Amino acid sequence: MLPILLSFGAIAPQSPQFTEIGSRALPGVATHCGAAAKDTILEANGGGVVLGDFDDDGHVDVVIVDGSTLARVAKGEAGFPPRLFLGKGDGTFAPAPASWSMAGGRWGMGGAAGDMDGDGWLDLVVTEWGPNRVFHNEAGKGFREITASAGLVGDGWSTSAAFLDYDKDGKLDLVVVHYLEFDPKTVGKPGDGDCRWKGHPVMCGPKGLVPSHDQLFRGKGDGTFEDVTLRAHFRPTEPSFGLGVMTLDYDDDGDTDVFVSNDSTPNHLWENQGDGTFIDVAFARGVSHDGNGKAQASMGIAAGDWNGDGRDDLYITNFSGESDSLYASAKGRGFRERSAAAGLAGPSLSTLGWGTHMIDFDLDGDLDISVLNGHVYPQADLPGTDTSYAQRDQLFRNDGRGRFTVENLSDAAPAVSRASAYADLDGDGDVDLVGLQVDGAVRVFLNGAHAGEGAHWLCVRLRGRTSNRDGLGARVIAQWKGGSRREEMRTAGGFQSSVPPEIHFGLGAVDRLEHLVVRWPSGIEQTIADVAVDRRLLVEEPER
Amino acid sequence: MRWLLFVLAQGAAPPAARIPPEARLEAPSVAALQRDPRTLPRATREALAARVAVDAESPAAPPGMHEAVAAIRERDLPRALASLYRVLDATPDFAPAVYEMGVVYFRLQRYGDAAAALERYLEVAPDRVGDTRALGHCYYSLGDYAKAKAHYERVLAAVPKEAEAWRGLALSEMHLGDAAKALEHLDRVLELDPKHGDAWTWKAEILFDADRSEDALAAAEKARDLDRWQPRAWFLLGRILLDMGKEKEGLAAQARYRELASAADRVHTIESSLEYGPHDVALLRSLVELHRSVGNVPAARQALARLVQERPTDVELRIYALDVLEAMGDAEGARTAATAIKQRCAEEGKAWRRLERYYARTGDRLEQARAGEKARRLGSE
Repeated sequence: MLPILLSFGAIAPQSPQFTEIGSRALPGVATHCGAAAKDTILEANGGGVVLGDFDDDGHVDVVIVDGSTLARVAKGEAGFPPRLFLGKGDGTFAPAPASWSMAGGRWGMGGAAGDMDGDGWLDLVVTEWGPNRVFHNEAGKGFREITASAGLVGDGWSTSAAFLDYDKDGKLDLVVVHYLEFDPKTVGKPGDGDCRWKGHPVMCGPKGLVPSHDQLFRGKGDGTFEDVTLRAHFRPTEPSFGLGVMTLDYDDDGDTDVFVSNDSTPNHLWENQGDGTFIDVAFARGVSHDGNGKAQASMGIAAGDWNGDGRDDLYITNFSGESDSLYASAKGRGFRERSAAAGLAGPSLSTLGWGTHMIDFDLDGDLDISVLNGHVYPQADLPGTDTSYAQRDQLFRNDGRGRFTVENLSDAAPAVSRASAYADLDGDGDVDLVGLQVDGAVRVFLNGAHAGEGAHWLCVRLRGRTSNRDGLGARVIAQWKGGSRREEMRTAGGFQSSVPPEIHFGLGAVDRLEHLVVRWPSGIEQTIADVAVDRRLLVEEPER
Repeated sequence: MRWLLFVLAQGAAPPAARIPPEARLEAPSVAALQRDPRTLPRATREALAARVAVDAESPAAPPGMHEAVAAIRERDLPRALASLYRVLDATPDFAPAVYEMGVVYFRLQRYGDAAAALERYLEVAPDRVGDTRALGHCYYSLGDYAKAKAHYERVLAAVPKEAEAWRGLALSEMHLGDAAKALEHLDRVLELDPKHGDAWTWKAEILFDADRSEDALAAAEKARDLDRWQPRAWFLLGRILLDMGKEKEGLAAQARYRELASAADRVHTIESSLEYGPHDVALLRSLVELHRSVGNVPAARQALARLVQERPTDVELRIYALDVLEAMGDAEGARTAATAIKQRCAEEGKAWRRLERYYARTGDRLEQARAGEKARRLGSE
C-alpha cells in the first residue's frame, strides 16, 4: 500500500533527526533551579553544559553546571555542585572519579572550557550568581579549584562565558556576560508593580531590575587573568541584561569580535579594533534590534556561514511573541535580518528559545539550526497566552535554497528546555546534542544522520604553536571542486554552554577536499591539499 | 449593522504588564479572563435562522450588550469581556457580541482566543467577512502567515479598498518570502492612503533589505515626515544612512531613535497595563509625561483626554492638562483645555485663577479680566 500512496505524492512520516537517550546516557542526572513556581527570575534560566575531552581519552566528556534553591541560599548552604561525567564514546557517560569532584558555589549558571595555561589540558570556568569559579585540570587526573588566585573579580550574576584570544598573544582570554543585580530580599513578588504578563501575575524582571556590565579578562597564560574591561573599552554607556555570548570574526579581518545577546535591551557586537580595544557596532551593523527597531529578549546565539558568503551569520533565539532573528552577513556591511525570508519567523514566534546551534546536522552540505525551547513563566499554561510552559524543541532543516522547514528535534515530549551544547558524542560522524531543562533530567540527543554515501563530513582540530593551543579564532576553509565553506574555531556555545574545540564540516556528496586552508590567529596561512573526508583531522600550526 | 470600530495596535506582546493595586479587576472581569471562547454554547440552526439582525447598540440587543459597548468605550476590556460572556451565555452566537469578543481579545493580545471568536463570528455571519481583517491580524500575530494571507485575500475580495487588509497581505507575503509582492501590496496601501506612515516604513525596510539604499532612504524619510515620533522610521533612517557611509546624519538619526524608542517602550508597557486596568490615573499621567518628554503633541492630547475622562470635574487634572498643552506649545489644544475648564469647573476659584493666567498669556484682556473677577468672587488667592 505504501508505494502506491507515495506515488501520489503522500509524504512518508519521517522520524525525528534525534533520539533522546538521556535516561540511558546520564541516568538519574538532573539539574535544579529553584522552586517549580518560579517566583523569582533567579529561578528561570537553568544551568549550564560544557563539553570537552577533559581526560584526553578521545571521547567527549560533559560538565553539568547545577543551580540551587532560594531555601538553600537563605540557609547559607552552597548550591548543587557542578559535575563531570566522562564520555564512553558511544553517547553515554559515567560519573568521573572523586578526583574530579567540585564543591558547589552559590548558584551555578553556565561555564566554559579552555586550556588557560597552555599545558594541553582543558580547564574549566563556572559562572555563578555569586563569584565565578575556576578549576585547573591536573593533567587529566582531576580538577583543582584555583578561584582565589585566578583573578576573576566580581560577585554578580554571570550567565555565559567564552574563551577567546582577542589580542592574539597565544594566551586565552575570557568574556563573562552579566545579567542583573539580584537580591532575594528585595525582589518583588509575582503581581507586584510591573510583574504581570498577559494579565497574569509572574516573576519580576528583567525590566524594573538593575542590569549589569559584562567583563573582559585578559589571560596571562598561567591560569590567571586581569580585568581589562575598561582598558579595552568593553563597556557600553548603559549596562544590559546579558544572557548569551558568541565569539566570531564577523568582519573577517583576522581578529576575534564578540557578540552578546541581551534580554529586553539592545544586543552588542564588539568589534575588535586590533589594538586591544573594542567598539560596539551592533546598531550600525544591524544586529542590535530586530528589523522593526525593537530590542528583543534575546537568549541563545548560533553562528555559522549559512549564506555561504565566507562570513558568519548569526541566529538569535528570543522571547515568545518575538520571532527568532537570523542576521545574515551582507556583503561586508554588517547584517540583514532574514528570519522572515528564510521561513524562520513564523515557526519561532510562539516559542521561547534558548540553546541554539547552526550545524549541518543531516550531513547534506548545508547548515541547519537546532533550538531548545521552554517558557520562563509557568503561567504560560494559563488561558490566553498563545504559548505554553513546556515546548517542543525544534530543528530547522535547511532546504538548500535559502529557506528552512521546521521539524520536531526529537521524539522527546515537550519540555522546559534551556542550555544546549553539541559534539559528536558517539563518534559516528554526525553532531549530537546535550540539553538541559530548567530543572529536571539532563537530556542527550543522538543524531540519526547516516554518515556515508552522500553524507560526508570532516572534523578538524587544531594544535597551535605560535597561536593559542586549540587555535581559537582560526578560520578554516574547506575547498572542493565547485564550492567551499568557511568555519571558525570557537568553543562558545551561545547560552551558558561551551563546546569542544573542533570544527565539524558537513559535506553532503563531497567525498574529498581539494584544499583545507587554515588561517591561524598568528597570521600564518596553511594549506593542506587533497584531504580525505569522513574522519577526524588534527592540523598542527607550522613554524613561522 | 454598525458595530464598534477599533484601531488595532501593531506590535508584539510586552514581556510584562503592570496592574497597580488601585486598579485591581472586579471578580467577574477576573473570571472572564480565565474563560475560553471555544467553550461558549452554540445556538441551534433554528435559533440562528429565526434571529433578526440586531445592532449592538439597539434597544433590542440582549441584556449585557449595552454594558459591553460602554466598557469598550471606556477601554475597560476585562469588564467588556465579562459582559460579552454574559450576553453569549444567555444568547448563544449573538453575532455582534461574538465579533466584539474577537476584537477585545485581539486588543488584549490574546490572539488565539481572538481568532477563535472571529472564526465563530464568520460561522454565524458568513456574509460579514469584510469586517474581519482582525482575523488576518490574529493569524499573522500567531505566525501563520499562509493562513493570514488567505484571510486577507478573502477580506479584500469583499472590501477591495480596505488599506489595512492590503497592508496585512503585504506583510504576510513578506514573511512568506515574496518581497516583490509585498512591495506591490504596500504600493496599493499607499494608493489608498498616501499618508500611511507604517506602509512607508515597511517599504523602507524591504527596500533596504534588497540593498536599494537610495529608495529605502526616500521611503524612510517619508515615513518620518508623516509621523516624527515613530521610532521605527528613525531606526531605519539611522541604519540606512550609516550603511551609506553618511555617518554624521546616521548617528543623529540613531540618537533620535534611541530617545523615541526609550519613551515608546515605556508607553507600550503602560498601555499594556491599561488594557487590564484602564482607570489608573497615575498610569495615565505617566503616559502624558512620556509623550510630553519627546514633544509628541497628538499623543499627549489623546492621553490627556483619557486622563480627564477618568475624573471629568477634577479641577487639578483639568489645570494639569492646560499646563501640559501650553508647555508643549499646543495653542489649539490649550484653547480646548481652557474651554473645558470653564465648562466643567465653573465653581472652582483656582480654575478661574489659572484661566486668568492663560488669557493673560494669549493676550485676551477681556477674558483675562472676567476670569480674574470670577476667581476673586469665588475666593481664590
